[in-house]
Amino acid sequence: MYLIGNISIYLGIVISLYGIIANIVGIKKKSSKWIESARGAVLSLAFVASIASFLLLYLLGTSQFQYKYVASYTNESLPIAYKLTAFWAGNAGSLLLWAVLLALYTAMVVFSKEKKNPMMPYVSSILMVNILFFFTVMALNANPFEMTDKIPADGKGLNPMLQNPGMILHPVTLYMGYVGLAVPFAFGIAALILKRMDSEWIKLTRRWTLLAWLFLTLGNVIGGWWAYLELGWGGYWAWDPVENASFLPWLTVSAFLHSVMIQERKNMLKTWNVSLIILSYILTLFGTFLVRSGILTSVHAFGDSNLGTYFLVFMAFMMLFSLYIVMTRYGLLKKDSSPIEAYFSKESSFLLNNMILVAAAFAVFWGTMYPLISETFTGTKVNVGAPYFDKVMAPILLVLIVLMGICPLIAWQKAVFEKFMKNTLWPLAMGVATAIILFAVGVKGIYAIIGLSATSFMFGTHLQEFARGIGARRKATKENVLKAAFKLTVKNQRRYGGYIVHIGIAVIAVGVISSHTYSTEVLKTVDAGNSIKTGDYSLKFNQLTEHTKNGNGIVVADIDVTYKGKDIGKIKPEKIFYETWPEPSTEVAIKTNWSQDLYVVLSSWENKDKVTFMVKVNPFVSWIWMGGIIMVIGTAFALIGGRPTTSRYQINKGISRVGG
Amino acid sequence: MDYLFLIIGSLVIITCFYFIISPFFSSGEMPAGEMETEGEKLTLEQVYSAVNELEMDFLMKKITSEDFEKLKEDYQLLAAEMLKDETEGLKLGKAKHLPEGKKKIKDVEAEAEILRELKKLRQQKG
Repeated sequence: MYLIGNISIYLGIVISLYGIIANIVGIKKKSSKWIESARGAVLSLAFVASIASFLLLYLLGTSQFQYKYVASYTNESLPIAYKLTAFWAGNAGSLLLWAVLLALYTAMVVFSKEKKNPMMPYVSSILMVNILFFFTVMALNANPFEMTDKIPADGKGLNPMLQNPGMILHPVTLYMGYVGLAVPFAFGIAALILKRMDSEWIKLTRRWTLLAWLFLTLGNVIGGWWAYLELGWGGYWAWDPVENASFLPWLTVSAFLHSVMIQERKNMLKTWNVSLIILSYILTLFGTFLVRSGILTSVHAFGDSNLGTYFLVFMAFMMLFSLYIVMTRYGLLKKDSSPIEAYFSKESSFLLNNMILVAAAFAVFWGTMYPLISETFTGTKVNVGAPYFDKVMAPILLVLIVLMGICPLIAWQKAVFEKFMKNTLWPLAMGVATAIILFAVGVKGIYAIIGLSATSFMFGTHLQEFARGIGARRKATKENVLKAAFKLTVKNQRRYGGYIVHIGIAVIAVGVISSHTYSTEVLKTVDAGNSIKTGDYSLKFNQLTEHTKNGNGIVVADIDVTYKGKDIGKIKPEKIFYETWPEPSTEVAIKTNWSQDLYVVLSSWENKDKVTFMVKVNPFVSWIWMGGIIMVIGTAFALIGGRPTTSRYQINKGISRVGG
Repeated sequence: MDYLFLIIGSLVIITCFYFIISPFFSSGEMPAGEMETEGEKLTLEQVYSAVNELEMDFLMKKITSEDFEKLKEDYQLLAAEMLKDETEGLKLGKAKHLPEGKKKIKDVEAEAEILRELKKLRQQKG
């Protein structure tokens, strides 16, 4: 098996090198046979990467501790699900996961119905450069099939924090997002190399970009959920460098998804779009560099290797290569691009939204890198921490929410300010009414009230868009409400999918603003039989017990909970002492209802009758997860049926031709 | 056991080699320069999607009725022109040999066909 694993990795290097060369020869000689052969190389890459992956899964599942990777991340008593997810627990496995996803994506692209597109040899070459990099790094620095000198009796086991269902989904979804962005990047660069300045590459990669964004969204939301359950500090987002690293491409791809519509319809923002996709792709490499290099302190970092250097070099190479291509085509991009004609138009509002998303990305980047920047110039590492991010990001996100409320009200074609103002009335009234109600019921915190009112305004805009859309359709077709609603959304999946995503963001915003502003925390030591009171909750501590499961010692606190005087059952926060891990892990106990979470952590104990608990009441946290689900549904809706936007630019050209 | 892994390893290499080498033994070579692309061709469906969107914007009170009428007329003119081009392209060969009177009848027939086609497309778009 050692032989097969290593053959797969070294074959990966040889085949990707061959594939790149075959494409170059095919392009130079204009030979379809060479290009077909390069396509065969892509198929071979998917084949060898899959073999290596299945082999690693087999080794992990059957506890073959003669392999260093298996011995480092699993042990005999680990449940099979976590044995298999240890695939991406370490550097070598993560690189293999990246390689196999990339190889499979590349195969799907080059064998798609666009396989005869002249861009394809360039696209497959660019993707194979990426595959080559991952196989090379595995061979040189992080081979998942490396053997141990002496076979250990048992493995070291998996970090307890990684023994959570989040481990099954969070890394994979993020990787699928990261890897997916390589596809639009490759198409963008291929289009520039071929000097194809139209929006064909955008149309061809629309689904890939949306899919990558969907996975990035899922990855980030699941990551937040996992942190909330597992880390035991009561929050879901800590502005940790690695969290930020996955948030950065999400922001830039969000900008890209909006600005491509302008290029498709109006032939504008060509340089901007290609720059955004390059930036997004580079940020995925940057994120991996942060995780692998250990240059910044993070709960995620795999800081025990020098893989960061490889990523830094590769990132620099890809950045310089992309810059060179953009610079040499800059004149053409400029020449072929239409300027923005009116300040009050859909395209201006989209451009503003893009600027703000990119500004948000820059603010996150700056805060993340500040410790390094300060160390370079002053010799002292200064961490800016969550207060900086909260202070900078809160107004940026507020402006984004307001813009999300404004943009849908502006027509694509002849936007008229008076009409827009009229259409804003109801959503605005909804925002103002929210503010008044919140003040009236005694809610405090002016910034939170502004944020919640803005969210209500944005939600109102979208409700109105749906209602008016249904009304307009009924007027034109005389259909009943349900049929009109169904047909309206199904026939405009891209637009209404986007609106559903916006509604998901509104739901998340309510959760984030409320939990951030109105969360309460009590840290209290209680004797058995005594209670802790917080808000409407009363928690009566009964006893502390200890038992063993799968060889791990588990300490459980038994607590009766009442809410507004009514018994709502028991909760049992735990501490688990793993055989193979020095630090105990905290298992949080959570009681959720629609408006708040009771979050209880077993902090410490003097003896079994005197225990310290951290009790938090977090309002509307469940709305964050619900919002995430709505966003995923909206994206999937836009993805499944959405067709590329009609090129209004071409239509306008057509109209001027016929003299309309 | 080692032999088994050696055989499997060899099979992996041979399979990859086959994927790579087989195109050189297939018959016929299509020059890479002549490969197909869909390009940026404007279609009638795109024009109709624009008209539908315009109508929705008007009914949702986002644009004025003057702008709506003007833009709609432009789009319909473009659609008619595209249909006419399409129809004429098909009938060009036959029509060249027809006398003047019959050509006029053919033009009227083409106009009627365009209108029918437009109506059908609108219904299909829902």
